[in-house]
Amino acid sequence: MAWNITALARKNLRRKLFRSLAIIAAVMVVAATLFSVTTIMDSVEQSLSRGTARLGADIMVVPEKAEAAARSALLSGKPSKFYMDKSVVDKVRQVRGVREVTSQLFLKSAPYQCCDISDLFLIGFDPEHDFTIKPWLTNNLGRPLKADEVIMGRGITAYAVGFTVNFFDQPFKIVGMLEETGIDFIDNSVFLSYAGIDRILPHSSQNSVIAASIPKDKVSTVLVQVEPDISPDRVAIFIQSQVDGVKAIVTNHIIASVRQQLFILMRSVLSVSLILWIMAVVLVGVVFSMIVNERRRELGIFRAMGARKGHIFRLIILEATILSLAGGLVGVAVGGGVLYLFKDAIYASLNIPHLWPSAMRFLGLSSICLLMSLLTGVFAALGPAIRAATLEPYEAIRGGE
Amino acid sequence: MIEVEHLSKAYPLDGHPVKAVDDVSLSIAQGEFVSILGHSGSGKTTLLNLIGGLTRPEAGRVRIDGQDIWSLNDAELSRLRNEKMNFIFQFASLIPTLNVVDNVLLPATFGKAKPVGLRSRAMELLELMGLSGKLTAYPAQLSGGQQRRVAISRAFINEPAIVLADEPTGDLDEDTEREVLALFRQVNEKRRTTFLIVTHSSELAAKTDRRFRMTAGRLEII
Repeated sequence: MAWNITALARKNLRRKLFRSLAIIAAVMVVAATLFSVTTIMDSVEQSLSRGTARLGADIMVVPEKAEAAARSALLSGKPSKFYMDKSVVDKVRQVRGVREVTSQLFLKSAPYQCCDISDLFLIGFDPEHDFTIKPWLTNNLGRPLKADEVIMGRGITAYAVGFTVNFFDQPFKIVGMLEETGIDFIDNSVFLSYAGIDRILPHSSQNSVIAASIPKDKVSTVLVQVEPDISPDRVAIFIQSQVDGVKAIVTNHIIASVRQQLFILMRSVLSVSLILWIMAVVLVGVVFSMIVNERRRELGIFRAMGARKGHIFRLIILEATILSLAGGLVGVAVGGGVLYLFKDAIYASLNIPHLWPSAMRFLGLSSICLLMSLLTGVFAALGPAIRAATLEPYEAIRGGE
Repeated sequence: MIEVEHLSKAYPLDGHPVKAVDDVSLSIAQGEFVSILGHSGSGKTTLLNLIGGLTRPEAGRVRIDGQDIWSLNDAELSRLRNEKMNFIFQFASLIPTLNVVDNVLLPATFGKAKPVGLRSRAMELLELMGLSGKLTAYPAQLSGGQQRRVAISRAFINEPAIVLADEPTGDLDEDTEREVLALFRQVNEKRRTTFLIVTHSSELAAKTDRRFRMTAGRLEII
């Protein structure tokens, strides 16, 4: 008759409402902290994995002196202009382990009337060899990008497909928006073909206040896909040893460095979470020990009425489960609410790529936090529950006298 | 049938074991109405709890219907307590979070039987005890005598074969005591329920069919 045991547990919890609320509050704090931290970490992980998948490159080759600017551009989307000789593309292609190579040209929109949006990353890509935008084009547009067309990142919210946008007095039709990645380099950039870049260059020098100047026969970056049987690390070493004046950045290393950066940032929060968790376990354990002591006679009477050890164990664990789940639910709601309200400020202070989780991921993260909350309560109440179940009935009854 | 053979149980007192029950043997047939008379501390409550399987003896054996109760596992012993016997304790033994009806129905919570008809039976018992106006009251809202009558109603809810009663009329006035004893006797005669009543009252003991006296853990027939 499990429903009756459940009813007993509920009534017991209502009897000491303040104590029950205190346990709920303790579990809530743990759940809220855990939920916020895991959501932030998950949003960064999601962003990085989706962003690097969109980038599609194992290695990013940039001018030697532009490594910091390239990393900054990739992670924070800060528009940067750096160039190296176009011959690098062919040199990299010759390196052992390299499967595919493509190049990109970076341009920054100007803060004058010539450009509808200023200080924006304009990324020109090579339509012949590209593997960053081309798969998207194949799947979504079904044809190559024309010279007067652009694709926008999802972060440029003022524009939509079908709109026209001017860069250096040249109109471009927006034919697609990339899915959100959380990486500003992709989300806040405009992608156009090399032909599109060629449209801009002559006009910008004639009509604009400032000309969009790109040195002749230069590229900003060379993106590399490696052969499946060789590690990107090795290929990066090969590239650096065989091609002068370049830095080969393994994209996975960027993820690793961001992860490390995130871990350093989150370490103190995680330490506090761990301390809170230990405190919650101890608190719930102590409270349930008190509950068992207070109710010794009652538990003895239950045993005299025919309750098995299992009934007593279940009763205590059920009470812990109800309190932990309630604490977990409130904690997830509070943690999620605080995170939602302050997400912009939090992510701005962290300055790392992030992607606000989808409803399904939220559900998954909430479930994990609820499970952790549940385990907190059940784990803490396990000792008192075993002690309660193994009390000799007469001893329990006498102990309550 | 209850058979007790050479039962002993000691408790430590000031570091020394004191025998609460000392080599007690007795046999009670089904349907008997028996009392154990004794002063406070004579060991009569301990004996009652040993017979009810609430505490394990150091020596001796308790058989209920031929079954050695300490050879049973926890589930079997709990089932025996739930289905064959019930207790009336000398202290207020109601659960404070449950109302009067739910307290009476408590043994059904732990039993396997479905509670079909138990609620109406609980009502009948409570009406018999003069508590029909207190069905939804909580123990804290009842007097000591009323609480005792609820506990007595609870003892009969599962229609047990054995009732082990420890000072069952302790908090009751004379009239209610008489009514309760009449009810015990009625149940005893109608259903052949065995009653083992532990009391310090010679008057109450005098109303039972067979009497024992307990002194310093030893049992003798009166």
